[in-house]
Amino acid sequence: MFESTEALKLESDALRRRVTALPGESRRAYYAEEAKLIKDPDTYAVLNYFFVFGLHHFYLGKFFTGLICLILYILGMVTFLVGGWIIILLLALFDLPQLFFSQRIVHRHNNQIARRLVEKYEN
Amino acid sequence: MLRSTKTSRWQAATEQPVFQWSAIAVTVIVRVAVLLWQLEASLLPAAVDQIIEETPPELFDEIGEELVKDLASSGFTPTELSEREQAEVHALFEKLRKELGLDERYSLHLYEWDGEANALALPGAHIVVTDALVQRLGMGEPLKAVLLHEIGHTTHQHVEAALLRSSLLGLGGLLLIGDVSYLSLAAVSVSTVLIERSFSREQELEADAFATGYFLARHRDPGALVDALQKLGDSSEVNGHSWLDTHPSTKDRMRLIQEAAL
Repeated sequence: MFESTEALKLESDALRRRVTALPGESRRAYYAEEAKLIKDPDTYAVLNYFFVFGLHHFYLGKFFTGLICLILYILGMVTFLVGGWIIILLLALFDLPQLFFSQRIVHRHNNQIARRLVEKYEN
Repeated sequence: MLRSTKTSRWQAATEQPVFQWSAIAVTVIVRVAVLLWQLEASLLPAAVDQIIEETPPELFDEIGEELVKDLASSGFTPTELSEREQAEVHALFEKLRKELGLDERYSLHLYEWDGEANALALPGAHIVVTDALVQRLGMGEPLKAVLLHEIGHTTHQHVEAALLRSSLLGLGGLLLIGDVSYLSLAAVSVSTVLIERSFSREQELEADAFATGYFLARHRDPGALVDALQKLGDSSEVNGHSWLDTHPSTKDRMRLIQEAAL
C-alpha cells in the first residue's frame, strides 16, 4: 500500500544529490520554496484523529478528499441513529490506517514536493 | 490546455499553507457545530432515554432521598407552615396521588426557602414545595395545578433526564477537554444542578399538559394553572428567584392552556 521506509529514504537521498548539483542561486531558491511546502508527520498524525478524522487531507493539499470526508461526516452525524454511524465507522476505517503510516505518507509527500521543485529548478 | 492551466493553479493554491490551514479551521468549525447540534438534538436525549430505561428505579429513589437530605445545604429549612396548613397540603397531595393511581413512592416535602415561592421535582418521585408558594396560592385549585405540574415532571421522568444529561455533559467535558472541574456537573453539586435546573420548553409544556389533562378529564376548568401562573407572575416581580424563572414564558403557557380548554 505504501512504499517502504528504505525505498523512500533512497529516493530522498537521490533527490538531495540533485539539489546539491543545482547552481547556487537555484539551490537557495529551492530551499526557500521547499521550507514552505514540506510537511511534518506529527502534525499530520494529530490532524488525522482530531475531530473524528479527515483534517489531514487538507494538510497535504488533498482538498477534494478532505471535502468528501467532511460531507460524509455531516451525512453520518445527521443520520447517526438511523444508520449514519456506519458511515462514521467506514470513515474511521478509511482514515485510521493513515495515522499508523503517517511517517511514510508524509515522507512520500515531501519527496514528491522535492522532485517537482528539483525538476522546476533543473529546467 | 486551459484545463491543465486551471488544474495547476488549483494545485498551487491547495499547496499553500494559508489555504490548507483555512480549510482545516473551517472544517473544524463545521464538524464541531454538527457534533454539538446532533448531541443536543438526538444523541444525548437517546442516550438519556436508554440509561433511564436500563436503570433500576430504586437507584433514582436513593438519589432523591439523598437530595432531600441535602436540601439544607442549599438554604432550605424546615417548614414554618402551621400543622393544620401542612396537614391540608399533604391531604391535597395524597388525594391527587390516589386519584391518579400513583404508587406510594410519590412523596411531598414542605420547606421554607428564604421566602422564595418554588416547587421542585426531585428524582425518585420526591416533590418539594416551599412555604411561600403555599401561602401565595392558598389551598385551592392553583396549588393543586402546581402540584400536578410537578407530578407531571416526575411521571415523565424529566428530573432523571435532567440529572443524567448533566452527568453525561460533565463526563463528556472531562473526556474532551480533560478539565476535572466538569465533574462537578456530574456529581458534586447535584442538588444545585436540580434546583437551578431548567427543563426544556417541551418538558415544561408536557408537565403543563399533564396538569391540564387532569382537569379536563374531570370536566373541570384547567384555568387553575393559569391562575397559579398569574399569582406567581405577580409575586416574581417582588422576588427575583421564583418558580417561573425556570419555565417558558407565562403568556405562551397561558395561551396553550386556554387553547386546550376550548
